[in-house]
Amino acid sequence: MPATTAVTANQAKILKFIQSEKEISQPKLVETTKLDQVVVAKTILELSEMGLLDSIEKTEQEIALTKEGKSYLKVGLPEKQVFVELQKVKGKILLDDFKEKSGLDPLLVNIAIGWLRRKNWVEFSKEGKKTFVESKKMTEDLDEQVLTSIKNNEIQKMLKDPKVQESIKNLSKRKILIVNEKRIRIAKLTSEGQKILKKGLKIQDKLETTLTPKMIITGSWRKKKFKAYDPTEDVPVTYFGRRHPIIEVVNEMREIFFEMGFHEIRGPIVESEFWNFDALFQPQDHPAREMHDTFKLAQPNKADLPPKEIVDNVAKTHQNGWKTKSKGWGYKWSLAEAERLVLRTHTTATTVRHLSKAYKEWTPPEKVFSIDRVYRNEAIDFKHLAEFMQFEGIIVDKNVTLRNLMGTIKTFYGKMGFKKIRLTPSFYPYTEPSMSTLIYVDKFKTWFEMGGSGIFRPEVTLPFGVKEKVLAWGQGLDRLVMLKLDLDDIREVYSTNIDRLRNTPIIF
Amino acid sequence: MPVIDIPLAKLNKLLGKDLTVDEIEEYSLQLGTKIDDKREDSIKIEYDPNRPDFCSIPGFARALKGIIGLETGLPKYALKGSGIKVKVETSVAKVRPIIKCAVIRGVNLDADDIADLMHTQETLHWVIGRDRKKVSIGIHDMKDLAPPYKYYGVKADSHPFVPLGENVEMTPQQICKDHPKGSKYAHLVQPDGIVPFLVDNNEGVLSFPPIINGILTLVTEKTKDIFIDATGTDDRAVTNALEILTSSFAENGYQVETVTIEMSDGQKIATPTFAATLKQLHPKYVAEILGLELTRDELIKYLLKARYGIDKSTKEGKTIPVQVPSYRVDVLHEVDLIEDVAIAYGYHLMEPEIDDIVFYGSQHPVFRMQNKCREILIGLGFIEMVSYTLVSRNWHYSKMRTEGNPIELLNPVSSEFNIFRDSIVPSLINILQKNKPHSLPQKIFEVGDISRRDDSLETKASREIFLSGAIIHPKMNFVEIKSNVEAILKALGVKKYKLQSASHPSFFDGRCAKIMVKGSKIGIFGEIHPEVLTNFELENPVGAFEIEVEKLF
Repeated sequence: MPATTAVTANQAKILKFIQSEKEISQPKLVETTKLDQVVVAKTILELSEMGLLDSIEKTEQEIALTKEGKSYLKVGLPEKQVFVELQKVKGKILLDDFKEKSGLDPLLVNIAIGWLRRKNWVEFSKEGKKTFVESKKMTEDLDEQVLTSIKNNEIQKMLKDPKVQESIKNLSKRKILIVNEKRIRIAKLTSEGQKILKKGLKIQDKLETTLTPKMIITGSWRKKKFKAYDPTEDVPVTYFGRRHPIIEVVNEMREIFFEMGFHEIRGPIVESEFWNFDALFQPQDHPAREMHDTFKLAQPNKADLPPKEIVDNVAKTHQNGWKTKSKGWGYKWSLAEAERLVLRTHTTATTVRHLSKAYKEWTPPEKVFSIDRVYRNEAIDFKHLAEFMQFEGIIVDKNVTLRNLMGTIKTFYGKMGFKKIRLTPSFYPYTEPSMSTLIYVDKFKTWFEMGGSGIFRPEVTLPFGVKEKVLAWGQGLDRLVMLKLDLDDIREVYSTNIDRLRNTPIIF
Repeated sequence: MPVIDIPLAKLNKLLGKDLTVDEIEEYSLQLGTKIDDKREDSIKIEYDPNRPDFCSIPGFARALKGIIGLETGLPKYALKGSGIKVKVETSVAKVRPIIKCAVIRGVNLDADDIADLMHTQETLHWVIGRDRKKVSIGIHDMKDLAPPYKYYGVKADSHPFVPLGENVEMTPQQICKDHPKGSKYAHLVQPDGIVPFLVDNNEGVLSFPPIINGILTLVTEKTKDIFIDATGTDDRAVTNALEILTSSFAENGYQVETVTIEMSDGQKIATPTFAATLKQLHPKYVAEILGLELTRDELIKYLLKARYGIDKSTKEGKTIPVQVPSYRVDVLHEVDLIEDVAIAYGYHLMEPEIDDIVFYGSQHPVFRMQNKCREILIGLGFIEMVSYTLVSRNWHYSKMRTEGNPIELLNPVSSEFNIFRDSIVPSLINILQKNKPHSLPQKIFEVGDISRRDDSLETKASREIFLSGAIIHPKMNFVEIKSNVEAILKALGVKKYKLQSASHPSFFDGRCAKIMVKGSKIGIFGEIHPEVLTNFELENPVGAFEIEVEKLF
């Protein structure tokens, strides 16, 4: 700290005061400077940070007289009172007689006797069983001086004297005074502080806290000095508004789809089994269609189906393959089953709805995708959710092949940041060939099964008049989000914990 | 997904090779099965339900032999007649009409083999049988049986016999009531009517399908000859199950023999058949699907690796005549052969390629709008919530002091999720309750799905986007929520709107308003009713709003 440092008015006041005292306690400073206690504490801290003061915590005795002590201050300690009365007696007197004749409270006399003996102001003598007492000479009484010093606020100076301490101890035992141990801050000039005082203090102008509109308009700020803020000090927390992390991932994936030339589609959540299952060649006794896998609706419970011709094509394909050259499933297809309402179990329901509009609302080639909510009848735990988000993309064209699907998937996951991808054979009722996407995650040094893909079976596309090939791939989003956010419980993916959301950074 | 536990030694014996667990893992991946678990001396394989022929160790080994190249082409299994006949009576026609049977000679099973066999049987019951409904299988020791056998229907309260797992005689009806297998599968038969029954010539009971076998034919380590019955309601399923199970015995080197089924109308069939079906493969179609230009010889090579046969009796033409083994019950269409060509070729060896279709991407208007709403609310300092659309009728209505006629689940997973929400505000209040320990103020929003019943729609339910928000802190009041709502409306570009006092059971009287645009209500906002706050154990005032944003565009 350079010796020319300017100090504030308060700092100067305190420094000057300490100069005369060398060392001083904080309460004393408050008392003498007439500054607010908080200001003094803050200024001491500032000065010690500037290296001008040493600020030391000390334990100090705070000594006060009790009510009894205060009364003795006026009339003298019991031993003095007794001594004065004793002096009026010539020679020795029987103690009991003295108690009776002196007019003093016998209790007070009892208290005084011990101390009189100890202070050696009187002489006791025994004749048989009788005790006589005779006044001697009263010596200088430290106890009385201590009481007076307390009254005059001068006691602190005397505390170093062991005799004084002894007296305080006795008086405290006699409940004449009370001693409290108090932690107290002591400020002491450093050599730097002494130096600066010797040179003479340079007093800074008063520091402004607030830059006011008036200062700006009048330009008066130019003549003022402003308080600097300490950037390490705590301030009130500001919370940022944000998208939910799952939505951030959704939007990131949507951007990838847009970059790859895909158009976004959207479809019903409450869906008929026809679109959710039948149109996808999932037989009506397929386990996925059972109550323990799919949410069925109690109310409403019956959907309208597409025109009869379309429904018939699908029904016949299930039964015997219709014109698809498939064997079909070989069972009696039921319209009532297809009309039942469910919460869609996959976004493929929306995909096949879109497919059914081919040559009516669009013509191939076509690239569409959706990222949306789906439902499964699952008990919710760290691995399972009853509703979650899923994405799915399709390419419809005469000339695309399984190798194009492989290329699309590698591009897609590559854009998501996954470089090591393996595609293995798999099975879905509505695709053939089918593939599983395995992703190598460096952090875990292992392969994760991400999603599924494949080419829609002719039994799915032909009933809707689509002769082109339909390449499709998709997966649930939760695993992606769990990897991105380093979560190990799937429920945290859809967290509504505001503290977690406030403390999770935006995904980059 | 079905799983099979394979001891390495057993598999290697069938393969005639000495493969490591890691090598088997790699071949399994190429085959499209997954590793559930691997240990030093065994491997657990998870396979897709379209390949029930993987339900036995020999069945899996057979496919593995092909992919490795140890043995290719259509498996050749010798089949002889057993001379055994099963007579089917009309009495069973209405209860469980289909039966197909087979005989396996000279088996030598240890305890592990018997456990594996039971696992195979149970997998077939589940995957093909839909838990014994379409087909169930009985496996019997033949030593005490006298042919011909009879498959017929009996009154459930007659014909007592000792079932497996018991030592007293029970009628089928008693079994349905008191036997563990009986109570589990009683729904598949009529315990008060006629039930299916399989007996030998001395009325010894083989089986009361699909429930349980008789103790008479218990299979043990001493069993030499096996009789198999497959009964059911679906002819194709019964055939498939029998062909898969018997071909697995044949693959293991056992002699399989046919059984004659004599129908009530005198028609006779012999089962199993091991008969391959012929399917034509078009090389052009393969190229179109896979993007691989393969010669005819290459195609044949891969088909053989996939354990198909090639019919050499037909003349060479544009197509390849492919023999599909009877256990490949998943082959419905030519595309199924094409996938197997790809698997035999190796997915890992196929070169990925980008298509040349050039398009620009585009957003769906509703998702786009949702994102715009998010921008507005984030700008106002709100945190987005994505909550479940399935909610509890209790807190969605009762705790909000409202009622409704919602989309209702038939089979909810719990009472916490039994209806589809028709408003988002209850979800947000519910979230505030969960966030009670966290510091205030809290400002949250959601722009998400609700659904309402609507008989004019195809699926009788609407799908609508609501934009809702809630603010909680000790000094929250109507003024603050109105100020936010007006900012949102301004940002949404809604210039002409009217705010009118409204009354709503969830909001505090005199502190609730509706937003009117062109004479119709598009939203509501205000201070949440203190009684609602108490219901959700909230102790600070809450302001909330809900805007039916789709109505604005």
